[in-house]
Amino acid sequence: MKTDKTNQERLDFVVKAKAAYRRNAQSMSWEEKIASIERMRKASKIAKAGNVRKSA
Amino acid sequence: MELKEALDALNSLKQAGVIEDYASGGAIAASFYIEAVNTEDVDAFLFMSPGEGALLLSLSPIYDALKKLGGVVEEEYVRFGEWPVLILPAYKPLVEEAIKNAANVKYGDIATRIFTPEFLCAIALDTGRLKDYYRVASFIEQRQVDMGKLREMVKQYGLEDRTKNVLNWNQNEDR
Repeated sequence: MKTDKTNQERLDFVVKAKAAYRRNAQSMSWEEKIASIERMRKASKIAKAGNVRKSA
Repeated sequence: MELKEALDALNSLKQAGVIEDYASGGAIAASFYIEAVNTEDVDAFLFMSPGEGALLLSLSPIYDALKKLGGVVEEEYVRFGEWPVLILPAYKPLVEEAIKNAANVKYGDIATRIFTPEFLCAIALDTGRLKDYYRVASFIEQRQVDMGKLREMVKQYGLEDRTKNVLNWNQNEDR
């Protein structure tokens, strides 16, 4: 997809998105973090089994 | 929540006197303080209750008791639901101190014990895999570790050499 954004603008977007993710991740309770680990484990199992959806 | 089953089982072992005490370490304990990262298992470090006259400590009584509590033994793990628990007897002074000084926390309504950030970092430095150094760096970056205390422990347990592998070790020198 073509956009008018410069590389600097893209980088700024990624940095902001990562900072927002980090704030969100740090505000999670322990139980929420464990639930998130459980989701990561499931995803990792699926990926290891080769059942990965391929992008078109 | 299947992790609850595992923590419940560890609490039962302690109540029954099969073990003296336990505390979780590794990524599960670290996730209490910092961002969660993927992990394959729960690391349960423990003090065992030696049987009378036993010269060598055996893990069998622990595995047997965990099986009775619904655990499934798979190689070196005992699995509760989807969570494999790795039983690790306290094998060196650093780990012994980590268990003794563990923090009392709650997971849902289950009381449990986890290593403090400083012991998690010191043990990570001692273990010395790439992911362990990354964990220490994460604690520092997210300002979740008392660097004064950690530096003292690094000196006490002779881990100074390992700190060069932590990219942000000298960040925030004043902390």
